[in-house]
Formats: sequence, C-alpha cells, structure tokens
Amino acid sequence: MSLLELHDLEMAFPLGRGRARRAVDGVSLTVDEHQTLGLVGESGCGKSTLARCIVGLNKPTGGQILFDGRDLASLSRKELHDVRRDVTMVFQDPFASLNPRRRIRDIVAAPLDVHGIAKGAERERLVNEMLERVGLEARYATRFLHEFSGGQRQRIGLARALITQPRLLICDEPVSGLDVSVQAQILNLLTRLQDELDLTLLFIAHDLGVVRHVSQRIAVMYLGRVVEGADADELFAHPRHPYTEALVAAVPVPDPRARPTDEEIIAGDVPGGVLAPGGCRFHPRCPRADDLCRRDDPALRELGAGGHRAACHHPLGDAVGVSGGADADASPPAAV
Amino acid sequence: MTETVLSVRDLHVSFRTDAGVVQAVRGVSFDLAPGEILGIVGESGSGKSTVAMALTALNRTPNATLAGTVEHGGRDLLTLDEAMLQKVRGAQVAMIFQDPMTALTPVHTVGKLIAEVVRAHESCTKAQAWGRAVSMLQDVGINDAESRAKDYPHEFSGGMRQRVMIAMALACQPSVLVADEPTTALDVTIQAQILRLIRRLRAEHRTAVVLITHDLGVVAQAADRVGVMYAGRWVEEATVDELFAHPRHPYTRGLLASVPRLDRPRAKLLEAIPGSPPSMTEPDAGCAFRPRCPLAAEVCAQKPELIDRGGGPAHRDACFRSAEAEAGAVFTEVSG
Repeated sequence: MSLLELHDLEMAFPLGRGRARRAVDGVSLTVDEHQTLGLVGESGCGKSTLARCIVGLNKPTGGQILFDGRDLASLSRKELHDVRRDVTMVFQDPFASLNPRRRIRDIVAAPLDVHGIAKGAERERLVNEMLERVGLEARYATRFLHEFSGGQRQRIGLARALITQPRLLICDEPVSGLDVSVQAQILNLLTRLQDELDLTLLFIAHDLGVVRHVSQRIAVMYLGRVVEGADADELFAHPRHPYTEALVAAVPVPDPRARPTDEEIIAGDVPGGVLAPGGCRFHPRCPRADDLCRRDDPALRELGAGGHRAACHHPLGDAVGVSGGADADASPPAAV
Repeated sequence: MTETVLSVRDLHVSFRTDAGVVQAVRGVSFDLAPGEILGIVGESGSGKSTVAMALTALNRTPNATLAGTVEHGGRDLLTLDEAMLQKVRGAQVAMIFQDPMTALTPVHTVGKLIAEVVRAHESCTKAQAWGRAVSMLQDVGINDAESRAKDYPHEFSGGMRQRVMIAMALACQPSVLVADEPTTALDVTIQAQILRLIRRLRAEHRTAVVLITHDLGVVAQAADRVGVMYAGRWVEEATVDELFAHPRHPYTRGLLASVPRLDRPRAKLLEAIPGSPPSMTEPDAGCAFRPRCPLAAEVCAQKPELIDRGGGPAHRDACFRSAEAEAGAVFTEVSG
C-alpha cells in the first residue's frame, strides 16, 4: 500500500529573464506504508527541495503529490492544513529550525496549538509523554534549547514532529550534524519509534551507510532526477547506474584494506550551471558515455526483478547490452 | 629511532572563558616521520583541531595557555615569537582548513594568492612566483591552469577550491602539511579525489601530513598511522592496519561499532555509545571515558598512561582494561 506517491514532480526556481533552475526535474516515486524510503544524493541534487515540496514549504511548479491517494494540489486550504498533521518533518539543524527563545514544552506543543488538538493539562501530559518517548526526562520541559547537546536537540525536534501522531515523517539529514556515537543513538531511536508508532519514513541523507541502515528501499538522485531505485541490499550489491556505483565506491569504508583503486574514483564535479547537461545528465562524468548518452536523456526503466530501476542507456551488469533510446522513450516513465 | 620531522611532547592547551577554564588538550605527545600521513581522529570537543592549531601556535590568543613542546627543525616552535612563527607557517609547516571559501581571500585571483605565499617566503620576481603558482595549480589537478590562475575563488567549485588551498599550502615545499577536516565539506565523490591527491602529493614531495578528521572512514582510506583522541587525550595509537584490525581502547571499539557500514551486513540496531563526552572544564581525573565505558572498574579512577602492551606491532593505548576490551565486543547496549 503506498502512502505517498510523487508523479513527475517538478520544482523550478525562476532566475529572471525567463530562465529557471529546475531543482527537482520530473521525479516519480512511491513510499509504501510502514516502510522507509531512503533518498540519497550529493549537494544540489534536489533531495531537500523535494522534501520541502512534500511538506508544503515549496509550491511545486509541476507534477502531482498524492498522499494517501489524495492529490495535495486539489485540496482546500482547510484540508491541506489537516494533512500537515499527518506529514511532518525533522530538519538537519535543530538549533536553526527550532525557536531558541521558547521553552522546550512550547516548542514541542506548537503543533498541538496550531491544530487545536489539546490545551491545558492534556497538552502538558502529551508533551511529557512525548519527551519521555524520545528519551528526555519530562522535567526538561521548562528549559531552553541552548541547554541541550546536539543529540538532545535532535530528540526535541523529533518530539515536535511526532506529537501530532503523523503517518509520514520526513527526515532531512537528521543525523549529519551529529558525532557518530550520538548519531547511532538517534538512528536507534528512530528505528524504535517507527515500530512503536507505525511510522512511514522518507529518509534523506548524503551518507550512504546511514541510508542503507535505515531504509528498505533507496532512490538515488543526481541533478534533480532519480537515476536509480531498488531495495536497499540490492542497490548496494548490484548498482546498475554508473553514478550509483561511483558513489558507493567513493564512500570511505573504515577498513584500510578496502581503499578504492584509482579507476573507481570518478573524475570531475557535479556541473554547477543553470541548465543540466543535455542528454543524460551524468554523461560528462560517466566512463560509459557515448553519443547516445550525449543526445538522449534516458528515462527511468525497469531492469530485472524486484522493482530495480535505473535511468541509463548502458546500465552495469547488462550482458545483453540493451540500449534503447527509442525503447525508453516509448515506455512510460517508471516510479521508484 | 626513526627520523622525525615534527615531535610533539606533552602538549597542553587551555582557554580561559566565562564558563571557566576549558582544558582542551591535556597532554598529547606524538612524532611525525617525513612523508608520513598521521591521522588524528576524534569527535567534536576531543581537542583534535586545537592540537592542529597549536602545532604552529595559531591559537596562542590572550586567553589561551599553550604548554609542552613542538619540535621542528631543531627548535621548539612554541618558544618562537610571532615574527619567527610567520616564517615557519606556510614555508615549513603549512595548513589547510575545512572551508576553503572562508580561508581564501575573495578579492584576489587564485594565482595571486599562491604567488603571494611564494613571495612572502622566498626571494623571487613576481613573474617567477606567478610561474610557480601556475605549476602548483597544474600539480593539484586543475585543468588549463594558466588561465584558471586568473580566476577568483568564487569561480571554483568546492572541490576545486580545496585543490587551490592545497596548491597554496604546498607552494613553498613545506615539510609538514596540517590538514584540518579537509574533505568534510565536500561530497563523497569529490572527497575521494582530494584524499587521493593528498596521498599522491605527499609521495612526490615527501611532505608529512597531519590529517585531522572525525571520519573513521577517511583515516582508514588515507592515513598510515592513527592517533585517537578523546576528551583532550591521546587514547590510542597504531598503524592504520593494526588499529582497524585490533582496536583496543573501548572508545575506539565503540566508535567503530557505532558507524553503519557499507561493508557489513545490516543490523536492526547499532551499537551506540551511551551518554555524551564530558565537559572540558571538568578537572582531569582518571580515565575520561569511564562514565560511558562498559568495562569501567575501580582502577579507572586513576589516570591511565599511554603504553605499548607489547606482543605485536607497535600499538599504544591508554586503558587499564584494553586486554579485556580486545578480547570481546563491549557495547551490547543499544540505547534508543
């Protein structure tokens, strides 16, 4: 059962003189209920913009967002307001995303106030309960944000995001500001909360180890597009897109015997221009690129069983050498 | 005794603050051999960056106290005055930082920035210095260096700026390069390129490198020898192969266990280290890791010495119970 579906989502930021930066450029994906979809990619790939579109912080310029089967664009203001109870978000930096002048109790209770869920003693009870659930003592409720460590602040951010009992929690780099020992505490907390509260997670991070740890399925983004999607173990065992392979090879593994060879280190930078390169966006850095890749933009297509999809003319591990610019254009774009 | 290019003995750094005296570094000693990459790994507040700065007394501010010795080229750098230190910095001991944008002056071309370093330390003409700048840019892998030298820092991507920083740091052929989190702000594919570059350059120039990082993966990929810091102390040291094969200190073991790894099967929960590091204003008594350590015993109230326990390759640790720690996994706690 899918809880969230994105169809051809597009978020273009106007730059003036008719130009626009397409931060998200036609993304389709599904998040199944009670599952975790991991979204990885390097800076500027559009993963955070995508998250902001889902929670309504950015208004998408194209495509559809379906939550529980309902198109968010078709909802009235009132209906949309109610959906915000069910879809909440945790940000990377709790110190920047939470108000330092308010007491923890009021930070956590803000969604209760906004949605008129609870007042007075009931409000306090819910806050205390939630603080304990995320591993903080209720007596901290009257303190301020600066009195807490980074890990504790992230627990506070989680408490606020979960207090409306959402169905979908979007985590945008929730542990990247934390030391590894604390990161492990927060990841374990998330795992426990997901079980206890029946949560569905969209988990965004640049750290592949972290994403693999929490996700059942993973989508890889590059320059505004999803270039590959598969089950977590399958994606790392058999990456099909050359970008995914390079990304996995570049992750520094804490084992000196596993140093990457020079061939495994991909050259070049993510192009920084306003317009993505023509053809396949990855072709300027891709060791497999040929004329087809420079000319035709590959669509995301099914490659083998288990819903493994990639947008590549020359996917890895393809012995038959399927190449089909024409084929790919003919079939409708697949969702991850 | 092998040749050393830098020798640090009993380094202490403390800062007077409104909250009390922060004893950031509490007795650190190490040697650096020519052409060697020594990784210093630790979490925030462990004192690793303070050590990096202290190597050329960069943090000798009015509220700071530096004690101990940093021997380089037959003198103790900590006894030199500012004018003498200026001659050492950049020429003999150079430094690169995490954020190349704030470390590079935005109003000069990168060629001028590098040429200025050369002119500050060597007697040569402007043209000669410019020539050196161009050849350094080539050396760090910047294509079309002749014309790129005339560009400003903002015209470079993050990875390219870090290359420029490295070119600047190595322009006068220093014998020691101190790299403080040089790849932390970069995407993984770019990080892999920069780490490879650092390894290549130290081989070509015989530059010794002190590589400061919080990332165990980065030290495993790039360092020859590793020192682990916790709460201002050097708690373990060995060659990179030995350290990752036989970590002994419970902190090192806990750190390694808490990272979600791509090269291991997934577990539902990570082995998190409970609690958080101590406040650095607390006095120095006993083992600082004791409150978080599953093996803590009465003896740990005494101050552990960093010693080699013998029976194998050089490997020093500051733990009374490292033999027990090495005998088995210690973190069974999976706190949420």
